[in-house]
Amino acid sequence: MTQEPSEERGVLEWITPHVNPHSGIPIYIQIVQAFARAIQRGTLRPGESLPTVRLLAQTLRLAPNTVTRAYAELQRQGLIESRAGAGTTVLSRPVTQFTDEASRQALTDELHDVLHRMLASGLTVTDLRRLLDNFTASSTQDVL
Amino acid sequence: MNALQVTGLIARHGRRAVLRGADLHVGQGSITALLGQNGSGKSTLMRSVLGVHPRTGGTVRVLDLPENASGPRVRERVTYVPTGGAVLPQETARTHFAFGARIYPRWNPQRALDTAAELHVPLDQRAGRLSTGQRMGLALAYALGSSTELLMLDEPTNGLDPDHRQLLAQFLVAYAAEGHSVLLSSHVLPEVEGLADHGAFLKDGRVILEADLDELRTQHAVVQAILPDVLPSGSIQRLSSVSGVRGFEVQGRTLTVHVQGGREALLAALANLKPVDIQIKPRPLAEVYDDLLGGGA
Repeated sequence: MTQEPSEERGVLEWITPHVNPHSGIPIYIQIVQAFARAIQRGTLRPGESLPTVRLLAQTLRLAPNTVTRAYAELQRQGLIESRAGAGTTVLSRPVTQFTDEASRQALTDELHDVLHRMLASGLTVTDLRRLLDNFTASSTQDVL
Repeated sequence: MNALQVTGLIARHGRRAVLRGADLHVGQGSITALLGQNGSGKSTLMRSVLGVHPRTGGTVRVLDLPENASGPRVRERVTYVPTGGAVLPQETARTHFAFGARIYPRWNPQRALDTAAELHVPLDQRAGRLSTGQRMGLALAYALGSSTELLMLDEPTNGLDPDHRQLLAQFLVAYAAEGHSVLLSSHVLPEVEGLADHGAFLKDGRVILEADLDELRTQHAVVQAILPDVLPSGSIQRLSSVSGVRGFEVQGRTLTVHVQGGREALLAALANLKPVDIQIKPRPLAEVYDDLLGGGA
């Protein structure tokens, strides 16, 4: 099929195992998370190109609407930008700030999930507070 | 503008009502899956849209054409590929394509030839002498060559080997990426998962659910709790009345609950059972499909 530049081919090969249409996780979210992680870790650098919607959809055999939705969400999060003629690229400047904030938000969400599970499994807020105190005490010791 | 809007469609086979008021829409640029068991009326629905099967009630609106339009102005803008593909046994792929060039205003000869080549369809052999897979390949090449704004395919993966199924998926994605719309039917959800962004679940002649498939994935989850002890069934039965709970099963101390929508009420109810651990996991769409349409397909 179509010949794509090697940079894009790398992205296509890298993202393929990150998207599983049968997992039950919304597919557009799987794409968003895969790219967001890649941008946070520097796998994808500012200014680098993302494949076109058509090419990514064709490679992963996904409805183009799903990929469009994922790109729109990444754009909304300030991680990428799409410009006519220039295609879709990883945003250059605001990206570091945004990723810090985004990754902090992701970690906070994860913590909320865990706290929810702990409370649901019968722990009280007092128990949680004691855990946190123990944790800070031990990690301070580590540092000292 | 929708590519297709079907409202209250009624159709019969003899005295038997096959469609009993089916509603369905296909958005522009969407790949929509029409899902249902064999015999649920998928083929009849597609055939009724084209008027190949008579409608007894309801309305069909195709693209920007007037309601219940029929004849050539529908057929030159919508292509339909029946199960197994319909081809003329005396004609070759080449003569099929020449015919397509005459009827379809936006016929794309290159796409027809490329599709045929990728699906290994010989161009100068009579269709009657082609293998089952090649005949389907020819029907697909002809349909994609038509460049119509709406493409309807009835169980298109039937008779295709796995490699050709993957190719078909790529062709359909490329077709939709140009803004065309696709409606394809299947009784096997995993075959169209990912490929379709929208789904209509057909049962007993009605579309019992039409949804954005990612939205459906967001809604459904599995909550698994490990309980401190094996509980008497009475205290677990109470869960079925909790808002959002769609079903549950108990295996020893493990309680598995299927939940739709908000999970707060369920988590609060589970907290009363003092579980040792709770996990929330995505629920595969295949399970949702089985619940809606009955498993075993």
